[in-house]
Amino acid sequence: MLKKELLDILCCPKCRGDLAYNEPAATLTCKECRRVYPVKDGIPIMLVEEDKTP
Amino acid sequence: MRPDRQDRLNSKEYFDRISDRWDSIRSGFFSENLGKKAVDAASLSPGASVADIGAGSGFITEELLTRGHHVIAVDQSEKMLLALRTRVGDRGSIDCRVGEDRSLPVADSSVDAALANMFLHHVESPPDAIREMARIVKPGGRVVLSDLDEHTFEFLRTEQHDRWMGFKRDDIRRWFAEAGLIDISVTSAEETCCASSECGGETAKVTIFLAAGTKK
Repeated sequence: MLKKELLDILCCPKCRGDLAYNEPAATLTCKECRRVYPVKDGIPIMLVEEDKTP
Repeated sequence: MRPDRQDRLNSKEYFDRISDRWDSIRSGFFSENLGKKAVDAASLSPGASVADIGAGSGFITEELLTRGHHVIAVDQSEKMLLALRTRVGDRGSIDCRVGEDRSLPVADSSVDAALANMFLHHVESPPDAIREMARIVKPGGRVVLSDLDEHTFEFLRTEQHDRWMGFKRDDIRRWFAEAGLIDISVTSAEETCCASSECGGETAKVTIFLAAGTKK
């Protein structure tokens, strides 16, 4: 469970958009760019996927 | 793979690997006084929300929690944060999140202060990292950094995956100004970092600076 006031401070690291918390799925989805971030053991993993191009 | 990405992975892998031992490794490096001085420099009101960037095993976080502040701990290593949360237990209000220096997962102007101890020498671009810390702080809030003065101990870079061999205080002052911070001070923390090489018995003794600035 993530507290609401903490969600307010959290933002998408890519576009700084607000996030929507899906508790059953344990994910945070950016309301702007739609990136999905996992929440593991209550810790949001806010990493922007590395560029895969060589 | 770009070399800078390799460096970043190496640093992350290093801290993932030693997450359960880091606090005891770290405790020999510098005294608890450093954490007190860094938090003092943040000029916090009671019950402030403070970001600890590169929180690691929680050197700064512990001092903040002791003083009753709310902590947002950010680190690139999930394992370090799990170890931190376990150690802190229910002793205070802490919110952990995995994030990176170039793009902190913290909203603009949302925290009362951002602190980072021994974080800057691990990042790819120190000026960008300072700008990110300034971004997340509310106007009037403080950015506080403690890190190593410029040194020549190569083993800190090779063994502990330091990216920068300390910093010139003039550079720090300039980067703070470029990040839009005012009332900048960069002074001696009157502490030294003592680390020993894993091989050869070389010991580094490096002085530590304390930098602080206020967001306009």
